[in-house]
Amino acid sequence: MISFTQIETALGSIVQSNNDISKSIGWSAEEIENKTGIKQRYLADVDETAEMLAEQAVSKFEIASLKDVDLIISVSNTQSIDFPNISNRIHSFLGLSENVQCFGINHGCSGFVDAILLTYSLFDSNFSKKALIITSDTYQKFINKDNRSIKTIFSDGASATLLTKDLETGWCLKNKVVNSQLNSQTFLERKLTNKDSEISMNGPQVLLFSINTVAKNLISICPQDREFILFPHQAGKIVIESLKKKLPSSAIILENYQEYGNLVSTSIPKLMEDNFNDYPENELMILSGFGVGLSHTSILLEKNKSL
Amino acid sequence: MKNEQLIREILELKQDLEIHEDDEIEEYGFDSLASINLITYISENSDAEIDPEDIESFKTIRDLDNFISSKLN
Repeated sequence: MISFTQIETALGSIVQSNNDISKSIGWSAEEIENKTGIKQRYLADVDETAEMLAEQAVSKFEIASLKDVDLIISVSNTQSIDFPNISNRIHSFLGLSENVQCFGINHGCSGFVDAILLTYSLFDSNFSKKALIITSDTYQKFINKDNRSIKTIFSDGASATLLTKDLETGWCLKNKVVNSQLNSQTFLERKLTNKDSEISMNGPQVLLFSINTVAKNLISICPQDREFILFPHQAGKIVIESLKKKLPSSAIILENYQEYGNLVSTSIPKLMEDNFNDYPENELMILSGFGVGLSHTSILLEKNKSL
Repeated sequence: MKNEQLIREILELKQDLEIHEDDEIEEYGFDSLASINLITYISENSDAEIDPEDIESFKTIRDLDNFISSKLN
């Protein structure tokens, strides 16, 4: 069982309004908001890297609370350094013990949930008791300025989530559902061999995956007769509105894409940071990540009530 | 053409531009953004599911018109 002990985030330092990009995109600010639902985005500055944003997020912790961390997992598609991964950098940044296990996952919007699943396994097998999950992405650095279908959606940011093994009041993993769609790996990708290593996205296919495959499979683990909180990846207005139509009325579906856009791997931790403590009586929740792959991982968690 | 006004909105065409059923949709700038407009409209206005292959299957304005009718009816 896992306690979400603390979640901290750091966003790109440039706040970009719809007015700021209206001219280059060719839509009015109002049109951008009507189409995407997004009011503003956060962009990393030219010299602000995924690694630096991760350090900013971790810096918000009291260092003493991290000293007995024994596992660091980082999630990123857009490290500025191919290897080693961000977990190693954060390990040194914090000056932790040399017995800490550090590894990284090259993954996008599903990555945070996959990292939590891995943490459950390592906690259950007694190989770890306290884990730090780092997410960090700077997609906006790799989007062509004329690509209006994705320029309007993504934000840059990082998160650090402290997970503690907690057999008394932690969250039990009750169910999971995963999908890896065949022959869809090119629908959202960044080829390092391309000039400027730009991100390309087949918007219609990614959208259909989200509103068809993800919704259909997510429903399979939704409690029908008990209220639960859903922390979905903030893919955008169309996807969130589609989930509202398709999921059972027992779902309280949280959203913040209007304020932050799509933060990729940091999307769900940012949503949890903003909302998790507003539902102290909450006993059931689903974390649902989907995107690059194309992939989908959702987990149903239930608060332990043994005490 | 049953869905002319909707097709104009999906393709973001000016009102005074004539459209013809037998013309290819590429001539009117049908691209990924138009596909997203189409998916969004159908998603918001019906419970019909769109097959990923459907979205790349129509060639002419008539195909698009028939596709929209099949999903909305």
